[in-house]
Parts: sequence; structure tokens; C-alpha cells
Amino acid sequence: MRLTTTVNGTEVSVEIAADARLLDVLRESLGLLGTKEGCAAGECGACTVLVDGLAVNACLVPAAQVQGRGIRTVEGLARHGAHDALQRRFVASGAIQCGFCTPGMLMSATALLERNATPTRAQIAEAIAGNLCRCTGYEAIIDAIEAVAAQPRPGHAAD
Amino acid sequence: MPPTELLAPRDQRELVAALARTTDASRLVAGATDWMLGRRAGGNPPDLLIDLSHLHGFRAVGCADRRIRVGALSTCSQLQCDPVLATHARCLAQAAARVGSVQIRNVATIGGNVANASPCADLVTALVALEATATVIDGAGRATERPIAQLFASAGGSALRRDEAILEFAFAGAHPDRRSGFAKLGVRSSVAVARLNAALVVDLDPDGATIAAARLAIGSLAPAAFLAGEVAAPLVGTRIDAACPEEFAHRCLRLVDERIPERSSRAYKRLAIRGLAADLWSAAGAGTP
Ligand SMILES: Cc1cc2nc3c(=O)[nH]c(=O)nc-3n(C[C@H](O)[C@H](O)[C@H](O)COP(=O)(O)OP(=O)(O)OC[C@H]3O[C@@H](n4cnc5c(N)ncnc54)[C@H](O)[C@@H]3O)c2cc1C
Repeated sequence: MRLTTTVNGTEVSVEIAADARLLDVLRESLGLLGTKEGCAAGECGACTVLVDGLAVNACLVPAAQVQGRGIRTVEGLARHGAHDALQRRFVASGAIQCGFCTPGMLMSATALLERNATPTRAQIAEAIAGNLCRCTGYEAIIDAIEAVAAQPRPGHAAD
Repeated sequence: MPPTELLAPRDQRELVAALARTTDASRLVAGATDWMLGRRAGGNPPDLLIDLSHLHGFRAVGCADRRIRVGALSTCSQLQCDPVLATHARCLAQAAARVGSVQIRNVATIGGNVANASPCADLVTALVALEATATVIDGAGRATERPIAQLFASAGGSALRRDEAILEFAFAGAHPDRRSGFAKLGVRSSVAVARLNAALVVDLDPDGATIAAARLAIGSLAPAAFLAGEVAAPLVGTRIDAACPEEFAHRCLRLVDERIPERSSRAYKRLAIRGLAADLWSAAGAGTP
């Protein structure tokens, strides 16, 4: 079957099997290797992407279900070749060590901040509970997300 | 092997037409959080895959004729913050909030939770406590309303036929003073399958204090969640602020002894259920006027 969908703002159209996983379509058909395959069972969150703004595990989503919808992967965060605020803060705060969980963490954090511009630490922890990190101990990641949330952003009144 | 054919019905009529074409090798999928794991475990691809996720008419929660109706395609993320459930069926909203992670809850549906028929399914336990019914439709277009317990085979697993789909759940909801709550224990605090889960529903008399009806459902102690009448019944007639949580916990413990006398997990579950009973008591707001 033919899948037509928008990935990082660009419409794409690829031939897929009816039961193909979104993860395989992103990595193998579209060459977007930023989205990682970890556990392949929805436990680790390394494959987190956004579908119409909602964080999902691409390893569990049938690609056919994203027909006509908007997908965002970690490759879609940078603007004009420059990392976005979350990516910069992850680097600056030591929220990245081996880096395998980072794309998924960034996407979960992006989904959170788009819905809740001023999350508490508990809300941040809840938002990334489905993303496992075996290196950092999570504190630096939560610090980074909290720091970005505290930054004044265009279109957001500082509180 | 011919490639899998995909059908994505958008309304009940298209769904019935799709169900009419199913064979033993056909499958239904909603949020796919259980289905994809099964698919990855191996076996032949289905001949026909019916994707229920486009049935937008069965994605909402509503209240009519003093019954609350929950579309089978409603996701856990939707249910956990639904205002109708927050008022009338808090145990279901709380159960939805405890399923997996944000990523899982964003797609996992209540229909999939029930049809998957796992003994530890969190939403099933809440639906059993609410004495919910399910409307099921088949490939001949026949819709039947069944008590939730009839959706599970006695030896475990689903009792749905291959050409049947759940459309919605319903339960009495207009009780003016209802307390309900859900609690679960897993190996970690989130993204954990329940080792034990429970939902408590308590309806108060018009005096706002005396318990008129009480129902407790327990999951992970049997092939499917069940109503534990012997634990809940003694609550009836007592005042909500005078009911004794320790006695309630003790009755829960006796239930573990009776239900799984031989199972290796009994020692753990005997200890765990006391904590679970305490969590449930406060989740339901029992013990407070
Ligand atoms: C990492 C992870 C964590 C999880 N954590 C929890 C948890 O904490 N608590 C919990 O209860 N569950 C948990 N689950 C299990 C799963 O997410 C839930 O059971 C979910 O509600 C299933 O819904 P779905 O829409 O994804 O179902 P699907 O995977 O799409 O379907 C499951 C089964 O139900 C059938 N089906 C689906 N919808 C219908 C319908 N309307 N009518 C008839 N048949 C239907 C399908 O054919 C399939 O056999 C977890 C799963 C994962 C992968």
C-alpha cells in the first residue's frame, strides 16, 4: 500500500506493507536514523516520535495508521542547521552521555513543553517515564528540560 | 504468502462489512500496543487487518439516560483527564493514568485493553468494579450488549469471536454521591504491568455518609478481574468516615489466601495486598466525610 504523510514538514510518499512499523519506515525507507530501535517493545522510548504532536513509540505504531498525519522526528528539531533550545541545553547540561536515549528524550520533552510550557519537576519526570537512560541518572535530563521551560520564549509571556 | 490486506473502516457500516470478510487468519488492531508485540513474536502475517483507529464515532465519553458511555477507541490519555469520568467514575480515569507511559497511553485504547484480556489489564479491573457492559457488533451487523465478565473465557483470554468488535462500554453513572478509586502494584512505579490491581466503587445514601453500595474488583489474582463481594459487602450500612481500613485490608488478605493458596506468588501478594488496600482506600476517598 502507498503511505502518504508529512515528516518534519515535508510530504513523503512510500510503498509499505500493511503491517509495517512506523520505526522501520522512518529508518529504512526514509533514512531517518536519528530515531533509535532499543527494546522494540514500547518499554525504553528510544524510538519516540511525535504524531500530530503526541509522543508515541514508533516501534509499536503501524505505519498505515499515520496516513495523512504529521510526524516529527529528532531530525525535525533543528532550525536552519542550528540545534533548538532543548538540544543545546541537553549538550550544555551533560544530559547526554552515550546518546542512545537522547533522540527519544528530546521528543518526549518537546511534546511536554508544547502542551505545558511551565511543567513541574514531577511533571517532567512523568513525561519521560517511558524513556530509559542507563547513563545519566535522569537528574541532568530533568534539569535541562526545566531550564528550557524557564527560558522566555517568543509568543510566551514570561511568568 | 499473499500480502496482508488492510481495511480501515470509518463508521459502523464499513466496520460490519469488514468484519463480514474475516477468516481465522484475520486480525483487528486499535492502538496496536499489544497487537504489535504479538505480531513481532512471530507467526504468519494476517490475511486481513482491520484497523479500528479511524472509527472516530467511538472515541468519546458521554452521559445519557443516567448511563455513562465510553467509546471503545477512547485512548488512555483521553480517559485520564476526562471531566465526566473525573466526576462519576474516578477509578476508570485513575486506571487509565496508570497504564504504561505517556507514549503508550497516547495510543492504547480501552477496547484493546479489554479485548486483549490480560489478567492484569488495568482498565478491565475498573470496568468490572463499575459493573460495565460492552456493546459488541458482529459481521452480520448484530449488536449485543453484554456484561463485561462475558467477554472473557473462563480459562483466560478473550471470549470474542473473530468477527466481533467492541463498540463501546456503558455503566450507571448518575449516582449523586459516588466515591471510587483505583490502585496498582508493579515492579516499579510507572511503565509496569500490575502484579496486583484493584478498583473500589462506593455509593453513599442521600445522607451523604452511609454506604449504600460497595463493589471491589481485583485483577491479577485470576484469569480475569473479578468482583470480590465478600470484601466489599461488609462496608454496606457503615458510615464512610467510620469504616475500618484495617478490617478492609484484612478481608483483602483473606481473599488472596482463598484464591491462590498454591501459587508461588502468594507470599508476596499477601504482603502486597495490604499496601494496595491502603492505597485504594485513599484513592477512593474512603474514610473521609
Ligand atoms: C510498554 C507497555 C506497557 C504497558 N503497560 C500497561 C499497563 O500498565 N496496564 C495495562 O493494563 N496494559 C498495559 N499495556 C498493554 C496495552 O497497552 C493495553 O492493553 C492497551 O490498552 C491495549 O490497547 P490497544 O488499543 O493498543 O490494543 P491493540 O494492541 O490494538 O489490540 C489488542 C487486542 O485487542 C483486539 N482489539 C482491539 N480493539 C478491539 C475492539 N474494539 N474490539 C475487538 N477487539 C479489539 C485486537 O485485535 C488485539 O487482539 C502495556 C503495553 C506496553 C507495550
